[in-house]
Amino acid sequence: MKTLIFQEIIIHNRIYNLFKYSLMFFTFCILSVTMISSYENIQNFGIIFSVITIPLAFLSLSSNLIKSDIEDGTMEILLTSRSALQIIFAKYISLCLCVIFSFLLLSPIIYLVYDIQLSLFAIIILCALMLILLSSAIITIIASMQGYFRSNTNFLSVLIMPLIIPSIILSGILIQSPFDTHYLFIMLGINLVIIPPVLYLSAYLIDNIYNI
Amino acid sequence: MISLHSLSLAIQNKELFKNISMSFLPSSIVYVRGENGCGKTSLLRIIAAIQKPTGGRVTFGINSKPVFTLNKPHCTYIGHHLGIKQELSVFENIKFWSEIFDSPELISASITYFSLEEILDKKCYELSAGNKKKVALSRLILCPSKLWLLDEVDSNLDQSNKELLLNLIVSHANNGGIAFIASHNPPPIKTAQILNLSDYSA
Repeated sequence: MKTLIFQEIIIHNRIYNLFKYSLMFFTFCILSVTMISSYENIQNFGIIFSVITIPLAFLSLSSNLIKSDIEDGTMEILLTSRSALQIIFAKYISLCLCVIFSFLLLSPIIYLVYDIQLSLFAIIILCALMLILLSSAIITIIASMQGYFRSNTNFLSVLIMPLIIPSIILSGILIQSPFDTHYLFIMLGINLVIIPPVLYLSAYLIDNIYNI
Repeated sequence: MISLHSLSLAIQNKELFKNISMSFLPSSIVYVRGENGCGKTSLLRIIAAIQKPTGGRVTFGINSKPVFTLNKPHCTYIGHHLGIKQELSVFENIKFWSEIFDSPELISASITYFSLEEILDKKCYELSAGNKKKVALSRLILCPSKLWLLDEVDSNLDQSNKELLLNLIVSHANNGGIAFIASHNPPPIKTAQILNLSDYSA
């Protein structure tokens, strides 16, 4: 499992430059929000936007996650040596780690640029972590579907992406009123409801990828 | 011993083969033959437990357990697609698979056997088709399983590398291993058994 995660992290960063890409994406989002917002709105709008852009950063990643493994034959060989669930977990965890690391690197900039209190900063980090965990799971299932159905799968991502919307809305509310911490537990609940079945479904699709 | 019990496969309502029932003892080298689209690759995938047959089952080992219930990896599979990451170096690919198969001590043996020393640092996209095939074949040494499933592995190889591969397959069989080789070429090993899928087509 550890080997698989480590290899996925290498592939994400050496081949797809995921870490650099997400770091640049977040930086660009923060800077652009700073430029287009008025001085009065910059703190609220900027902070919210820097968190809710996280799912957007994932949109382009789904095609690299599993389809490339199927096309180059890696998936066949991995399936002979590991269970589909282990493969999916490794892909999910590596995806989360790469994006979490780049967001954490950027978080001091958010803290300094928007001049926020430490308690709000902690809420932002927690919201970001929840969103990253959920978005990674959603992207994993989209990637699995793209691998399983091979063609005409773009519409599937349109159907599945709205699963992130409640968490995005809750993040916005929570950042605007950081003392209502019960929203954080609702976000945690949403993650617990969505992530495990999504990962199991992804593993099921991968397990049956050659049975279609 | 590996046994195929009434094995059948249909894809999209087209029956590729049906009722294959046979057993192969340790040290068997089996050439799977048949025309294009007759199910050679699918048969190897079924034996590798990554594809399910529409009927029948495959059992392997001393206890004749169904392959789907065996601990992984129960076989070494080399398919049409070689399973190498083009953007990584030859050594990085070999190292990854050695870690997957938990056999880092066999890295140097696999490099030496297929003479990969001079291309170790090259990215795989820089390699010729033959060299890419050699990198993929190094997995045969890295994975210490008794069952080898090889799908048209001798394509793109020059004569000397074909002989190296044959020697490896023969020595694997001499050590009690079983090798299934899907190929269009006539078997170069006289003692090899032939499983002609055309005989089992619907």
